[in-house]
Amino acid sequence: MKPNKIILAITLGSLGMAVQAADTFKIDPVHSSVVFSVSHLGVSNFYGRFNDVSGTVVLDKADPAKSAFDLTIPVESVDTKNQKRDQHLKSPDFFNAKQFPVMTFKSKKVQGSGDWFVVTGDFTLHGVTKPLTLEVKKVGEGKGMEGEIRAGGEARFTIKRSDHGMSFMQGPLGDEINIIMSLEGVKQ
Amino acid sequence: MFLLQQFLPGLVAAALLSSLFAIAGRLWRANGWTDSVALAIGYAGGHVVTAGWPAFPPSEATQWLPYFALAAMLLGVLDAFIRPPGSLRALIWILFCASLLGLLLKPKFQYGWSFLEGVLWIVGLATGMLLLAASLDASVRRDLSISSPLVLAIVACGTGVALMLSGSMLLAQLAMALAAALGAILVVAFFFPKAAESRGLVPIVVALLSSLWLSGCFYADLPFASALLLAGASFPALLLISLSEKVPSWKDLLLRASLPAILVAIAVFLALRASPALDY
Repeated sequence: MKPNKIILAITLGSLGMAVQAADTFKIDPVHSSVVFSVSHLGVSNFYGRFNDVSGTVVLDKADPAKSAFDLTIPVESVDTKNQKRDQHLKSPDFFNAKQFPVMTFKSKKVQGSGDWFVVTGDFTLHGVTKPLTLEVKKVGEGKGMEGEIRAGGEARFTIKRSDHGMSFMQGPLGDEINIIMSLEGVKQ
Repeated sequence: MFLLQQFLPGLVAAALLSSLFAIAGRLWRANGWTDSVALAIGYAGGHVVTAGWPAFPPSEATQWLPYFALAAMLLGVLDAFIRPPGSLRALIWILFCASLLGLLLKPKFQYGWSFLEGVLWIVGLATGMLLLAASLDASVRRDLSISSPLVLAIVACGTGVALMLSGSMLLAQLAMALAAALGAILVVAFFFPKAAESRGLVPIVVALLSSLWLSGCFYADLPFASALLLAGASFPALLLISLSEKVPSWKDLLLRASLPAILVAIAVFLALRASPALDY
């Protein structure tokens, strides 16, 4: 092989590696969980979850700064093991689901290395967008039942619902919402 | 006890502010427009105590309500000072109703209606609001008593109860703040009977009650039938007021109060039947 062709082959090969370095994962709602807890009357924490989450995560192992998170959670999927409470949570008193059907998170900056990422982005809840920083731990990556590549990660964070204009029943219900977001995605 | 804690601060703030402004206006014999100011400030005060003062522009439809109250107050004051000619008044009212509905129902354009559907809804709803405003205006101008604030307070109170049954305590609290403000004006008007003039109430009542009914229907679970009954509850009493040329007796007042009360009771009953239970 002539030297020019060798250089061309190396260049194309490295370009291909660069393209492959950023992997796009589509969120698998069946194997992803968004769980929250809130203080009730100051005597206990009750837990709920959102049964649906969708979106994509772009992971660039070579350059994490090029990674991106784009997540959407339909408010209608709130589930606290009590239908009456769920209906009230969807009402204008809380999530106001008919006016604000989804909450979203879109990353603006990703830092990190190895299995830890610090993801800063815009979190929109109840029509109010606030900056939010998540510490995301990559849990693992492997093959699924049909040979597809899967990866997952988890973040634990706290928001104040009053920051997003959800102030109804402050006191009896806590202002701080603790959230565990465990995501699994399928490589596209 | 819980309900009392939730409702009382807003009710007290609305009633205090309204009565303060209503008394001041009557003492200064400026009553053509002070009821307008008294009701708008009273409601805005009740709203702030209940839900806080919303940022501008509001992110949520119901957060527009105090702004609607203040805008309607300007309309009431303008109407009292320089009653514009009929065509100009109609134009101002059409613009006011269309803007209010556009802002209140913006989420429906985003997540529900096509543009054409939305325009049709706005045209229909604006026509209803204009009809309500015109009939209220026609009757309160002839009102020589406390009939108008009495009828309107009953409708506002019924709206609060129906909204409470429709899955939103917040909307109910706001309706009750309006009812408290109207109640305070009613009491002041009772003690200053000669100075009673309720025309200034019309723009604020129409703006706020319409907003509450529509928020209940579109964003909570208020049945449309309840909203329609509440919207029409004042009509029979208004008709009686506009037909009468003399100061009403207690019997007349009772009749004027019971007609809307019956329709309001049916509206509340329908809301109760469709009510999502919140007893968890």
